[in-house]
Parts: sequence; structure tokens; C-alpha cells
Amino acid sequence: MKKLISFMVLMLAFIAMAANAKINVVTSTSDLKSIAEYIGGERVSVTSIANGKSNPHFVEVLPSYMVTVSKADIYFKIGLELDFWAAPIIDGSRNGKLTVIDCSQGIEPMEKPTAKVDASMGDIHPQGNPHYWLDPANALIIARNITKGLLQIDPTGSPIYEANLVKFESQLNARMEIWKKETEPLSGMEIITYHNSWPYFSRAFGIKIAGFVEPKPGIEPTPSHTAELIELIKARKIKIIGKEPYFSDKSPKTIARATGATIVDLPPSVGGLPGAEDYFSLIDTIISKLLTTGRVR
Amino acid sequence: MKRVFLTILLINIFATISESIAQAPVNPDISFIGDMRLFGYRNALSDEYYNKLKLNFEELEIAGSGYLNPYSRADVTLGIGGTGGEIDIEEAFATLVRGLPLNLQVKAGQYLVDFGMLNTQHPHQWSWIQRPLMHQWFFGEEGLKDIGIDVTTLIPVGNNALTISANLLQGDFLLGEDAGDIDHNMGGSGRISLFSSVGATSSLEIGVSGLYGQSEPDSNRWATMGDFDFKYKWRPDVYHSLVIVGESMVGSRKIDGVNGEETNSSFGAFSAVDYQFRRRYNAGAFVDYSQMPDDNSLYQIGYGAFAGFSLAEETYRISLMLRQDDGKDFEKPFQTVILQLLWSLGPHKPHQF
Repeated sequence: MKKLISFMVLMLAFIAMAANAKINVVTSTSDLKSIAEYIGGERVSVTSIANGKSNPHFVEVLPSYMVTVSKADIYFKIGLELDFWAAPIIDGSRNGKLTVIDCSQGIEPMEKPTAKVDASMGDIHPQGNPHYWLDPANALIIARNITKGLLQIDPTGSPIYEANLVKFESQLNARMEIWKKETEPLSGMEIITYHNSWPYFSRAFGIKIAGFVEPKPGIEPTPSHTAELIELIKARKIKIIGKEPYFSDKSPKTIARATGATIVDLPPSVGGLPGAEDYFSLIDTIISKLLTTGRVR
Repeated sequence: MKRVFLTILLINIFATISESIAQAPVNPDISFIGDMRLFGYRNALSDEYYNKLKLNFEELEIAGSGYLNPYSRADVTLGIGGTGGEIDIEEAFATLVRGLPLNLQVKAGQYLVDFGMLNTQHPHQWSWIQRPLMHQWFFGEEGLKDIGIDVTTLIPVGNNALTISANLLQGDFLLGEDAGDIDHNMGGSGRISLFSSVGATSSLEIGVSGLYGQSEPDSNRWATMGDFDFKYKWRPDVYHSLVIVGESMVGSRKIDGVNGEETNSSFGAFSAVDYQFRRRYNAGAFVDYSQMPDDNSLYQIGYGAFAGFSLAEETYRISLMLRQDDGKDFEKPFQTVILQLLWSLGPHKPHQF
């Protein structure tokens, strides 16, 4: 009898442990991690492969990432060929039960090439610009994709995920109104950015990207392109050079010295700079950086 | 002439296939990698190279890879050119990547065997350009390549990755270039490696391997070999990295000695340091040593330096390597200079550790 009771207690403990076990989520980037944490709440444990301080185009395929994914229930990827490195990590994980969700589903990609693409154009993404998370409207689509994915593998968590999605949408809409008001002084302002990471952000907030420090996406700055850019900045009286924190400031400094423009570190991902701790504070940080520099100018 | 025609024909066929299937939703990735070299030799051992300058199109590598279905993928690498000027299947294998128990993956076909870390890599991945002496002397110019079945498992050890692999091999890898015509027994190998992230920007992998194969078919002699390898990589950003690799191997086999059958144990080692100091520039140095597999009194030691410039990652790369070699019975050390132009046409590949 004692043995039977012990066995039953043990079984109940196992069931309780299983019931409390969190859904193991892995995301390609820290932005997806932030949104997945919001939607999943206490039911999920989320790990991101790329951190906000590193260039998401160049993530090395490490066996330790494969180990992380081998323990995962679901993987959320950016898609549009930004995180093309996710495929060998997922393959290397050998995880046959893994659900993979492409968060770009339902996004309308900007700058989708209409003609044949080749490497003479630089590191062009044939399916369109992949930095779509920087438009808050697309963050809602990401959140919906994440909710759909979580419901697929954990239908019992439906009330929580759906409630969190509603909360996320409502918070996003409220913040969007604030962001729109805050960025009114920036509307129509021209800036230069290092890489073409900002078309979605600039569309959302009315900023104009006049040029790039890179001559072509993913290509190192050249003296001739830098000279052209200096002329452009002088001619159009552009005041801001936005730079993702993981790029070198060598060429931006040369341009800034020649033109008097100010270099601003703009984090394109959560964790890219102190203060950008989740998706909402990421957009706050970018706007605040632009406003501060804009006002100083 | 016939060879040139055949090569052009093959390139055209692949280009046509690539062009047509690139539009399709189910498309293998196809890449072309060209390796052109200008060699300069001083005091080389053979008349062919003695104090000469040579320009070679070393190899054109054609690589295709993709998923066969949701569970498996295939990889094919053909080499055209090289010393023999022939079309060579460098690798052609299918891998069951997921769905197997115990975190297993099974690879079958012809492939570079994971006996040590360096052997699985193609030479265009190396800043030091040339295959280590120990690979060339023990296994031939292309390293240890064989037909086999490779079963691998990945075991999480905390956040570290322990990888264990076992290979059942056709077994002709120690028998020389004409081994295909010789009746021989099967061989085998195994490797255990531990990968660990050391802080946020560094990683270390350490591996040990063992190998068993027939070394002489007529006398039914066998060789056993062991290998130790490590790789340390520090990569704080895309502008800087430091890679330190080291590998040593020892092989033991029965040979005909002065007093009848004897056991000969030979040793080889390679180590390199490669520092990327700007986004497009790197430089480093290496040491390369090997004894002859069947006579440990004969050895060669090489050391040298290299520098590289990559126009846009791996798509167009120029490397310069200076090397000096010496050895037992060498009249005097000989020097080699190689200027290499490496280009890669095809889809952007993920960067592996």
C-alpha cells in the first residue's frame, strides 16, 4: 500500500511538473524574442540566437545554437532571407518535433525587386527589404504570427495568448499615437543611414532616407561613394547620419567632419543600445535619439 | 582541348540548370568557386618546379545543395581541374537531418571524413591555401575522402555541444591512388568533439578522433591512427576576429623492416593563427610538419605567413602565402610563394564556426 501511495505521489509530481513546464521558444532575433515574451507571458521561455548588438545579416552557425534549438518547441524566424543562417542551425539541432514559423507571413515587403537580382547590386534580398519589424504596424503582424504559432503547439494556452495579443495591439496603438505626435518635428526630415535598415521605420514616421554610407547593401564604403555622399549632404543640408551600433564609425566620422552632420547611433534591434530593452522601448529609443539630435541641430 | 571543351560544357549545363531552377520554388543552391594561383618556387625538389614561376587554374569547384524532402538534404561538390585535370567527385552525399531517435543524423555517400577538424574543410576555406602536409602524406592530395556511412549525434552538455560520430568506410583511404582496383576490407573512424562558447564573443572546440584501415592489401596489414584537434575563435564583430587552430595526428602500421616485420609510428601536426584586423583584411602564420607514414625517419617541416584581402566577403578574395620547407635529406630549404585569386559565384552561404 505504501508503495502504491509513493508511486501515485511520484506520478502526480511528474504530471504537475509537466503541467508547469514552459514552452521552449527560440527566435532568430531579439525583436522577435521581445514580442514572443509579451504574447507568451509566463507560459514561455524565450531565447534569441542573435543579440541586438550584432549584425543580424552575419550570424555564425555555432554548435551551441544547435543545442539551444534542439531543446526548443517552436522557432520564430524573420524570413525574407535575413536569417538564412537559421536553416543550418535548425538542421544541426536534429529537432524533429520543432515547429518553425516565418514571422514575415502577411508582411508586405518594401523594395521587392521587380527585375532580375544579382550580386552586382550588393547584398540585395530578392524577397524584399527584411527589416520590417521597425514599422510598428508590422509588429502587430509579427505578434499575430507568434500567437498563431503558440496556439498551434499549445492550444491550452489559448486564453492567455489571445488576451496578450489584444493587450499588445492596444498598447501598440496607444504608443503609436504618442510616437506619431513625437515624430511630427521629424516629418519630412532627410537623414543618411549606414545600411538600408530603415525603410519601414522611415515610412511609418515620415522621415526621408536620402542616402547610405554603404555604396550598396553589405558593401564597404568606398572613397568615391563617400565623396559623393559628402556632396549630397552639403547640397541638401542633411544634419543626421544614423548608424547601426555594430558598424564601424570610421566612414561616418569622415563624412561628419566634412559636412558638420552629427552621427547618431540608432539601434535597429532590441538590446542594441541601453534603454532599448523591449520592442516598445526600442522604438522609444530610436525616436528619442533622432529627436535629441534634431533639436540640438 | 577535349578537357577544356568538357569543362565549358559542364559549366554551361550547370549554369542553364541554375538559371532555370532558380525561378522554381524547389531549387538547390548551386555555387561555382574558382581558384587561380600564381606560384613561385626557389630550390624546389623536382625539376618541374625548380626556380620557376607558374600560373595555374588550380580548380573550379561546383557545389550544389538542397533539401530532398522535410527530413533529408543532399550535397554535391565536383572539382574540375587540379593536378590531374580531371572531373572529380569531391563529395556527394545525402543526410537524414531530422526525425531519427537519439538526436541522430545519418550521412551516406562520398565525403571528407571527420578525422580531425581540418580534413572536413575544403582548401578554399583556409587562409593558408594549402592542405597540411600530414593530410597529403597520410591520405593523398585531397585528404581523407572515402565512401561511407556517418552516424552522428549531438548531446547537450549544459549549453555546450558534445558531438559523437562514427563512420563505416569503404576503406581504401590508406592504399594510394589506385586503391579502387584493389580488393580490400572496410575501415572505420570515430570522433568526439566538445564545442563551448567562452564568453559572448569567443568559442572553443576540442576534438579527438580515431581511425582504423587497411594499409597494405596484399599482406593484409592494418593501420591505426589517432588525431587531436582544437579551434579557438574570437569574433567580437564583423571587423575583427582571431582564429587559432591546431591539429596533430599519429599513425601506427606494420612495415617490412631490416629485421623483418616492424611497427612504424609516424606523427604529423599543423597549427595556424589567422587574425582579421579590418573587415576585408587578414594576416597570419602557420607551422606544418609531417613524418612519412611508413618511415618516421623521413620528415618535412614547413612554416610561413599569409595575408588576404576580401573585396566583399568570400565572393572575391586575393591571398598571398610565403612558405619555407625543409626536411630530412633535403639539400637545402626550398621556398614557395603563392598568389591566389579565389572567387565564388552563387548564393550567400551562412558562416560556419
